[in-house]
Amino acid sequence: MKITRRHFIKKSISALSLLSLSSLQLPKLVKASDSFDLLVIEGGTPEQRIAKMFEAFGGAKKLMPSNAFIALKPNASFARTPKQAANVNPKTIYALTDTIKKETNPKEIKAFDYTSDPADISFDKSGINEAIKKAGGSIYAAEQENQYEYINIPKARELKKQLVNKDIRKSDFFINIAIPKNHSITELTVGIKNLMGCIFNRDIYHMKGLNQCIAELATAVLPDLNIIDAENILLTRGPHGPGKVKNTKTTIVSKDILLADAYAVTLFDRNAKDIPHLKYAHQLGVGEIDLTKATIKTITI
Amino acid sequence: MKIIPKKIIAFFYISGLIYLIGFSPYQNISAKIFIYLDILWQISQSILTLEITLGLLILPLLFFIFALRGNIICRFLCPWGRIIANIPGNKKRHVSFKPNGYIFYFIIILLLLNINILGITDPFVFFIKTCAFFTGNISWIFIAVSTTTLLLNTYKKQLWCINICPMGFLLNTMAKYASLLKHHKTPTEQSINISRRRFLIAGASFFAAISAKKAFPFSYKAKTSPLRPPSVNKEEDFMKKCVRCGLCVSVCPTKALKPDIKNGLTPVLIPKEGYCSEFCNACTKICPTNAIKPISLAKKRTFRIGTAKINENTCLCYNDKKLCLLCVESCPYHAISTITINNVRMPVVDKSICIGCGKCENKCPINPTSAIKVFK
Repeated sequence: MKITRRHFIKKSISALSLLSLSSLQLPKLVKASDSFDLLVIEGGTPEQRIAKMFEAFGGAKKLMPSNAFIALKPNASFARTPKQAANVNPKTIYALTDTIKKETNPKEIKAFDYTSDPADISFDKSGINEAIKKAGGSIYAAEQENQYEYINIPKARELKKQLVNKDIRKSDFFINIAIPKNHSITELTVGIKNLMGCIFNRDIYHMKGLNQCIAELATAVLPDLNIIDAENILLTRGPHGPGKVKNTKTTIVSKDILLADAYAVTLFDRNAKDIPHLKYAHQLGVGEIDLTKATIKTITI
Repeated sequence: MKIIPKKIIAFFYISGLIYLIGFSPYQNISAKIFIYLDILWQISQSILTLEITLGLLILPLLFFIFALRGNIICRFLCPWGRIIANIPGNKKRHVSFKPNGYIFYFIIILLLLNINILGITDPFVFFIKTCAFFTGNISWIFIAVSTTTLLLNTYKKQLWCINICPMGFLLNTMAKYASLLKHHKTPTEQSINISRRRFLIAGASFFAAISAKKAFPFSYKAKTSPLRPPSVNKEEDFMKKCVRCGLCVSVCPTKALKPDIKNGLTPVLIPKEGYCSEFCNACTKICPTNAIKPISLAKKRTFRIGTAKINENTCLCYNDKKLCLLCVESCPYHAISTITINNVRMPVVDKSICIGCGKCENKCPINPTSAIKVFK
């Protein structure tokens, strides 16, 4: 085929425009390069599973920026022991913080939570304070209004403006670490519900309808990585227990918060579409709720 | 020979005591020992409980010491007196009004009527209040009471100690009699200033009070029964023993305890301010007078302070059919369950489990009066 000048210009312009269009979608391209949407690691200890997680992403350096400010939002909200499964397992926190510290040389690793029980007792009894300090990070209780800033939630129906923890915007990489639990109000609590520890005024959520509000929050507070630590899960009397605990030895990792939650819900033999706040989150376009549509990579230790 | 100035000794003495009662790990025991040395408190306890307490043994002991050394408590040991001695005041002004004796008898009469006003008259209690100020939560009422007694002394140097302090009156009277032991003197008009008339008035008022008590069996009964700290069983016993020192208020980590004016500055649990934490029994440990008895954490978790009750007219679930259930989520003892009526979940309190810690009332989003409230 003969290539004329006109033809060449036409083709090159179309190619250029295509490229520029695709560059707009660059984050999604990176996501696809992980070659999986959801990572499920089963068996072994929490430390082994975290190590496998970094391996699957090709190392911590590839997953997150170096010399960065890393913010963690673990669920450390209750004064319960790790065995009572009301908080994230401290071993997971230690392994995660330790690996990040050693491999990416971060400026700072800071965890925070707005606890339900008194903060100092919660952090100590859950073992998270000790674990994170041992690994070279720090944790603080975000209980003052000046630690928060207003963000806009354009997709929201109920609350268009919210006070959200300042460190989320300041951080270069924000990791949401949750534990799947039974919950007295929202039936189950996993990653999206865990984001409630990032906001200041929680009363209004309950007044306006909790399920809708946390779904709306998930459209605006976007963790860079979601780790669902299901070493133990709380089956009854959640969210603080003590209740029936099941040892599931699973870690679920995804960049899509809803997808991670949707998988975690199956540990309770439930369907994500039956959990109101997950259903609303899907309607608001937070992420994928259908596990059959996602590429799931399962690693068994 | 003066090697170390008195003021420096006083400074170290006061700061040491503030450290011991205010911050140190021995806070609990120091406060208990300190109040034990409070002679006015010892007397008040035996009058209120109508028992001769062991602590009263300190009276003859003090009498003996006073005979040898004079009134050492007012001159050296009373920490409030030491603070007052260092407050500058007008030394020349003469104040003839000296109501300390009357205040002392007034206290005794009120004690016979089961009313305890040591919180606003006893210098040792003032000092504990000051230590409580350094401990943690600050209650402005207590500060106001203590600073008033300090500021009085700027009008005339040591006005409180010489003219007002009822404990000083008691100790000075004791010292005067004790000095007779030493010098083998007969009481003269100068050494003892109790005239026959004064003695008779005092005696008559005593008998009047006792007969009044017998005629009208008066005992303290709170009109509105407030929520008390855990381990307080009987309201009347509590009112007898509590000296309003404010230590429990200052150690409460959730700031739930507040001195209540309506109940004579005694500590009251106000759930809207804070709740009684599941993991804390600090107030029961620190109470120097055992008004709040020591109680283990396990027992505290089953001790009933009150019972929560839902106001269905204001509750979001009952009234607005909203999914709030914050009380259900917050209850540490799982005392609130839900029932579903017409697809709306509503909270219900299980009265057999609820101990009235007040966390639900504290977390309830309805303002200013929570839709769930703890009642005695």
